[in-house]
Order: sequence, then structure tokens, then C-alpha cells
Amino acid sequence: MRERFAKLLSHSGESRNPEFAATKTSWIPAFVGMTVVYRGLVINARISNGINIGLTQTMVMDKVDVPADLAEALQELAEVAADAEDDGFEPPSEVAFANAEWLLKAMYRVSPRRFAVYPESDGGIAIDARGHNGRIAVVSCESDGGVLCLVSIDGARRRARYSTARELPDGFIREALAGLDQKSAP
Amino acid sequence: MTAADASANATDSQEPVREWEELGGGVFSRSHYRRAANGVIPYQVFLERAGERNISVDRLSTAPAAVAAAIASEVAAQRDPPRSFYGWAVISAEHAMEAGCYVQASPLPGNPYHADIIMPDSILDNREEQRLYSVALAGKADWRPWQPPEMDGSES
Repeated sequence: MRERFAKLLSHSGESRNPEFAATKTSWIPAFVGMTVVYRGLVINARISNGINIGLTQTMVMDKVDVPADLAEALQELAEVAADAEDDGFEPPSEVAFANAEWLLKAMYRVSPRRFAVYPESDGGIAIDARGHNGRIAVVSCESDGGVLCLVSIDGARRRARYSTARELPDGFIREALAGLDQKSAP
Repeated sequence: MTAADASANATDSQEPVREWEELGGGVFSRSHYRRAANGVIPYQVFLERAGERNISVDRLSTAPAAVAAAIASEVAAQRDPPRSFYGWAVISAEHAMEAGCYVQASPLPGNPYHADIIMPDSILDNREEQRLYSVALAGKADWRPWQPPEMDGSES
């Protein structure tokens, strides 16, 4: 599927344009809801007017400047829509995708580490961070734009809900990320 | 031995689950498999439907591995749409209890090694709490593949 998508882009000759449409109507069912990485661009495909496929460049990545851990997590994010489709999950919403991208980068700045990114069955996207001894923090970017942070550290379970990702990561998330690596109390 | 033969050879499976036992949650999702193979068990492996507090697992310390895999493969094939079985997210009964759950043997026809990790009654109506317990379980789980298929390099 990805090869066909790349072929579509190369045929269009407009793969560097932020906004453009293709008219390969026979391919529409294969691409709707997909997100792919092509020549360093992360591109979303959606029906724009019922006939054409709208291809929207949502972020530009210079792979040279992106740390490997973050690049891998962003690659997983780029594949979330396809993963959700494979698993029969609801497709991630645009706002979930945008929040996940924002939070992934912001949390990486707070705590550089390998975050795992995977789809949730209800259209959300999970950003999953692990620490020692089963410590875990999951930030769930939900389909309605809400965010839920779930933390389990040394038997203590905590959660925080947000209606928007605008002010995140806040103190709760920063503390959770720091807690993943702290030494256990004797 | 097939899954159908398992019942006749599973006297131990009627016993209560002991703390040291390993419990396996089947992984039937390709994306979950890919993350698990990279060392991260997605928490949704331990999340059942809303309002359902029992998480189905297999008693891997009791079940012969091939039999447990055969049972899990049957479960995968019976899903709608049919799925593949990739392996187990394994957690000890002790860790499940440390995560706030309790564990109970619950043999089924065709799966005498079945058990449930049971979340507290008090969170039954609270989906966020259910997710939080699932996160705690996933944090303690390890990946155990079962004849993993070749990864499709063209997708990554």
C-alpha cells in the first residue's frame, strides 16, 4: 500500500506542496485515513470533496536533526492510522494525531527516552513510557481532543485528565516522567 | 496434544492459582505484537470491554506451551474478524496482585488452563480506573513470542 501511495505522490509532482489533491479515484479506498512518511514528510490522506484525495503535509522532518529515539517514535506515530486499520480499531482522529505529535515532542524535551506509540481501540493514540521495575506512564490522546495520563510507579497508581493538550506537559506529567527513573526508596 | 485433548490432562488446572505462577494474556493484534517485540506491552492487552472486570489469561506455568498456544490460536481464529496469535504478555500472579487485582482459576470447556485477573468491584463503573489498572499490569508484563511470523520490512 505504501509503495502505491509513494507512486501516487511521485506521479503528482507536487509532493513538496503543503496542500494538493490527486484524482486517482480508484485508489481512494486504499488511502483514506492513512498517514505515511514519504521523503521525510509525514502526510495524511483524507477525502477532501468526495472525489479527490486531499493530501496534507502535517509536519516536515529533517531526519538528520532528530534523535534516533524520537525519530522512531514519530515513525510509529506516522503508522498509527495504518495500524488501527489493520487491527480493526477506530481510525485516530485528526485532533488525537495532532495532540500526540505535540506531546511526543514536548515530552521528549522533558525526558529524552524511547516512547512507544500505538493506537487505542476507540480512536485514541497512546504514548507509552517505561522505567525500572515495571514503572509506566501512558499519555492517551483521545479522539475528542482530551488527554488522559495514567501512571503506575512502585504500586502507586495515579491519573490526570485534561480537556486539551494546550498546556501540556504539566507538572503531573513532568513528575511522572521523572519518577520513571528515580531510584526506589530503600 | 491438541487443545481438545487438554481437558483430560489438566488436573492441576483446577487448583487455585499460586503467586509464582505465570499468567499469559494472548496478543492477537499485529500492532500490539510489534510493540511487544520491541519491549513494550500495550496496556490494552490487559483491558477488556467497558464494564468487564475479568481479564482472560492462561496459566502458562501449568499448561504445556504447545497446548496453550493451540488454545490461543483457536481463540484467535474464532474472533470476528479472525486474528493471528502472536504470543503472550506474561505477568506473574504475584505482580497482578501487587497491581491491585486478584487472580482466580476459571477453567473453561476446551481451556482448562484458563484463569481471570480480576479488577476490584469498586472500579467496575469507572473506565478510567480500569485503564489505570491495565496500565499497571502492562508495566509488569513481559513478552513471550510464539513462533512469531516474519516481520514485513516494507511497512517500517
